[in-house]
Amino acid sequence: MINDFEFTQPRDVSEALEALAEKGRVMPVAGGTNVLVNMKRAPLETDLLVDLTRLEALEPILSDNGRIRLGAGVTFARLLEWRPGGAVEGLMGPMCVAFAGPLIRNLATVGGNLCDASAAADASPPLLALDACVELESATGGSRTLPLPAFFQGVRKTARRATELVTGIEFSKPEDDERWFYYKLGKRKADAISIVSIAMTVKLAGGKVERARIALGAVAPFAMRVPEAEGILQGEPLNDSTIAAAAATAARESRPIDDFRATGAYRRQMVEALVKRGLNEVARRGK
Amino acid sequence: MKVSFSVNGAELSGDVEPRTLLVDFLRNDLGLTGTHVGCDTSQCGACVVHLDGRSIKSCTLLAVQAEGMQVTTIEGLADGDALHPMQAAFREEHGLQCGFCTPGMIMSAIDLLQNNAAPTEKEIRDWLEGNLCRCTGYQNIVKSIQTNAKSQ
Ligand SMILES: Cc1cc2nc3c(=O)[nH]c(=O)nc-3n(C[C@H](O)[C@H](O)[C@H](O)COP(=O)(O)OP(=O)(O)OC[C@H]3O[C@@H](n4cnc5c(N)ncnc54)[C@H](O)[C@@H]3O)c2cc1C
Ligand code: FES
Ligand code: FES
Repeated sequence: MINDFEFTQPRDVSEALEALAEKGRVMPVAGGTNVLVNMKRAPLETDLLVDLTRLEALEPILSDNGRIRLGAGVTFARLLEWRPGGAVEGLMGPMCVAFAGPLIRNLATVGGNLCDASAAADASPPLLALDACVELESATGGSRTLPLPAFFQGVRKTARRATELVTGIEFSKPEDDERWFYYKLGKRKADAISIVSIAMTVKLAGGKVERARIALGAVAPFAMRVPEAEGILQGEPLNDSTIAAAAATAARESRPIDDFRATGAYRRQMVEALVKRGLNEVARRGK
Repeated sequence: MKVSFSVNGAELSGDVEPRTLLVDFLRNDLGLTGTHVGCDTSQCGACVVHLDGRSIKSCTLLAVQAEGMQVTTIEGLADGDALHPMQAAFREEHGLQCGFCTPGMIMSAIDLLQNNAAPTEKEIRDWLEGNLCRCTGYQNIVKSIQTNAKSQ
């Protein structure tokens, strides 16, 4: 039996922030695809559930002056319909296709995905590869912005304070010549939690890597970049030896666990294989 | 707490505990038992209804979250004795055996055709990822949806 709690459906962000600042245990709910499943497994650790689905300020996808901002309430169904082009679409499109099925995509939000902070949360690797920041707001503390790596702090732990609302996610729109790669390795789609997922963006200049961002999901307590592997590529051409070195380093940097989906050793091998595959594809594209 | 929303075109309001799932409200309070509960953990799709026209799993939503919205269930599809074309296609093509998954399948399939009037077989199968059937092997379900799409 589901435990009892109070429920409120604020009409705007300031009402929501006030609710979150109330005494006692308070929990936001957006699409509810984590919250509702969790509450059937174990009593919900909350006295008050704050429904975010009526907050219009969390809905828009804005593109302005080279910056893109996704409202926290954007659903995966809407992301899938979005056509930003280039690396953003190249990463987000296949991520959304591989994300659950249409029934869950119609409810599940990007903000909920990041706040749930599962190691396998599928929005994380593309957003890490796009160097995204999370915007947080609270009634008393105003607003702050955190780079995604600083937002994730542990297994299902984020830097969000209980009184804070995640309002949006923003990042710079990549240049037109930015290259990308995305791959999700899972077992079955509708309920396939990622075994390993990978997203990368690479900027090449004069045949050399000017900047590479490689992000991995499901191979550490939270989605991660692999800075050493990225560093190996910096200033180098993409060839068999640099690619092999970066892939081996990324595998070493990952910290996968054994679980019922796959062993840690398998995940580590897959990191190496997928980084290799991604960099090869990036090198080939545009030739 | 008070909620009001429309179900199959009828405005209604009621008093529910916040923890009440939409599917339980539909089945227990309104007697609309066409919406089924299979897994209760958002996996199987037996509980699919339309919320403002989009298909969702009603075991994954609180009744109070539907405040002010339009809910359509399998009972809201037929026009009197005349089946909705998707229902008719399922009957025609034997798109069901035990029928447990059928309401959810039909609600999902209608949303598919709203998004994509002429889906390929692969698109149909991909769309139905969140709807499980333990009887048919899906073949006739896919055929039913194709038949409905062709007749539109
Ligand atoms: C059948 C099924 C398949 C799934 N498949 C996938 C998959 O393929 N990939 C994947 O990554 N996930 C998957 N999930 C998990 C889930 O759907 C996602 O994590 C989803 O993005 C959660 O978003 P939501 O809006 O439903 O979050 P909710 O359940 O509403 O909330 C999740 C958490 O975030 C908090 N929260 C939500 N929004 C905010 C906000 N704006 N500010 C502060 N806190 C907030 C809530 O308090 C809660 O702790 C699946 C779930 C189901 C049931
Ligand atoms: S009962 Fe809702 S998805 Fe199975
Ligand atoms: S017809 Fe029996 S579950 Fe689908």
